[in-house]
Amino acid sequence: MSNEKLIEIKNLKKYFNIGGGQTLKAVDDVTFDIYKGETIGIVGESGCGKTTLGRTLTVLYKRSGGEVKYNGKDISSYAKKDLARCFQMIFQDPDASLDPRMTCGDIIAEGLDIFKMCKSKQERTDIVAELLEKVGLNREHVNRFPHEFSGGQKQRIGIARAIALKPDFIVCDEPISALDVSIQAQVVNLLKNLQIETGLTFLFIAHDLSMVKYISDRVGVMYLGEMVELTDSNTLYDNPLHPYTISLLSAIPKIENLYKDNPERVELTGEIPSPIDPPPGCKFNTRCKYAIDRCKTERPIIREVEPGHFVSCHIVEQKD
Amino acid sequence: MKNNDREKILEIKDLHVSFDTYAGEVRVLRGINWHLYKGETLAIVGESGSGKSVTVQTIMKLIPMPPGRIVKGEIIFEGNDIAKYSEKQMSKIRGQKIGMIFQNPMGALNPTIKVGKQIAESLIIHQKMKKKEALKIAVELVKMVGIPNPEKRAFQYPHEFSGGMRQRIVIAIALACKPTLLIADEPTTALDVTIQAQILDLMKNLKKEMNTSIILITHDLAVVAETAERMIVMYGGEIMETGIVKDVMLNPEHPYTWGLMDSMPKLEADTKDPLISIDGTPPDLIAPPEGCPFAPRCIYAMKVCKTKKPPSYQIKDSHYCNCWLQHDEADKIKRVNPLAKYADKETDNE
Repeated sequence: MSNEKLIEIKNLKKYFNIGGGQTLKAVDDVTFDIYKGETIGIVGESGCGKTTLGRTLTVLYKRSGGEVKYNGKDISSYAKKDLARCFQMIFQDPDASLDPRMTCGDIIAEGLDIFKMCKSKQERTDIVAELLEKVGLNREHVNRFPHEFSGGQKQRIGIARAIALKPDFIVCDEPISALDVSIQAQVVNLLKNLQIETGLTFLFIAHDLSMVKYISDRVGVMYLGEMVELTDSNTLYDNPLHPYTISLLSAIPKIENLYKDNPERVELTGEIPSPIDPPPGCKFNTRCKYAIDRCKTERPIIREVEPGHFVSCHIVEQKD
Repeated sequence: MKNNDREKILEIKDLHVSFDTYAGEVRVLRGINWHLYKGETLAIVGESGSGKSVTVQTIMKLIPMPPGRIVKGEIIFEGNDIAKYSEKQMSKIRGQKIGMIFQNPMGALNPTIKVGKQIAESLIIHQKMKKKEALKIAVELVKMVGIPNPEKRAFQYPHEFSGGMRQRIVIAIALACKPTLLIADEPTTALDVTIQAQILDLMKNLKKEMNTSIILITHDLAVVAETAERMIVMYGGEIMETGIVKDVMLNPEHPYTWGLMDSMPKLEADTKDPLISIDGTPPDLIAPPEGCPFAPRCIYAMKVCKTKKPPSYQIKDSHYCNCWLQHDEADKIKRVNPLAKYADKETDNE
């Protein structure tokens, strides 16, 4: 991981018009940087906007506001086609993200064909075979269709397709949630090795917090469209500051709790409020047991409380 | 508690289940033996295709027959062999004696019927209650599973509830007739961790209150550690290892259990070493391996593993392991158990 910023995100917003004059603020004022060669994990409950964030960054969604800079230049100054080559995505459901009527080889080479990156048929075959071997499949698999593969193998095809164009940045949107535990480890090891070989940058979205800790250099926690805490992965798990992060971490079942009849939990009461009509002030104040009056009116701004440790909370701010 | 004194509520003896397909006979379960004590939580873990869901669906007779068929074996529930029960006899047991919670709560609920009525349905059918009376109990059940404002919520439709709330409704339906056995098939897999913690706590509390026995199917070993007393590890339609959760997790003896435990990242560890994965994929059950089903993926596999099924070796009390490595003539494998430090803690406490 270098200190060079690959992507700078400033006050990124993505609003959806859901009719009836209402807007759903899926991503609201998110600010952070992504460094070259790092893996940044994004965690949060369903509906917190982590997938929308990933899709807005890869320009699958048009942002509603804010700035996204790639290599120092605003992404709107790049041609859409160039961005499509530099930014790739690995999806959650390998069944839905592979065209069932295309062969494995054609799926992987689709991007190569579009960008005319192969000069001859032979070169195309060679590149595809090389990619297949890189992700742990066989070159004989090239003429098979997606249904002939197992779930873990399909996800490998998705990975081969994503790395075919030698992108800089890959958004992995829950790439392992649909897989079995023993297969998850295979795919995660593959992603890590690819990163070491090619210096890729990953945005890793997941809800399995222990896997995110394992794979990420830094982890961001999202709640109702906002980034509430962002820091390196060990600090986040050893010294979480935001009350939401604390309860999120304590909710994970752990084998280590084998000896506790009632493991200690900082329980979250209630459900996540509707993102259409979020509470004023800090969006977490309705479920936060430390909430003070200020939390109900004034929206906290994310700031650096320790070097590299960003938190958006009035309480944490007051403690300093 | 001495296990011998405990009443067995459910016992499965040498159960074989097959599906007849165009490709051939898929032998999904091959000789499963286990039992469940009264008031106990038993976890069944394994990867997809290991036969854990088929096991409980066979108990409930929910597998379509044909193509499914019970080749042989007995399912003894409260003293009767329900494997031979007719559909009519089964419908008296389903929902009344055995409740079931499914993985996908939206799929388990009828979207066009108010949830209160769905809960009352089994009370009206099984306990011959009047509609009004049943609805009153339904409201109480909605309250019991921790949904605020039950008088209003019981008369709403499933789409008006969030995922976690829907799963609570499914639990209320399963518990409506106070069943003696509750089967939970991946009850929290579709939920967020925060909601998962709430649902698991709810199940634990309800079990204490109603003294229900629970069969919990999951692939998350951490969930097992926090909720179950005994566990069964399944692979390729057979049992690999079984025993008290603490025994199995702290002293696992089967290479498959080792693989499962090693392939999960540990939250408390700071290491970034590569995860240990199990190479290969689960076996094809149309032509299941002659010997141990795990042998093709097992790094310790010996000659005998590929030709002969291992017997069940007793490790300790109720801890059994089906692996040839337990044979006197086999090499003893030393494995560093990452959880060993917790085992030390226990001896300190004693």
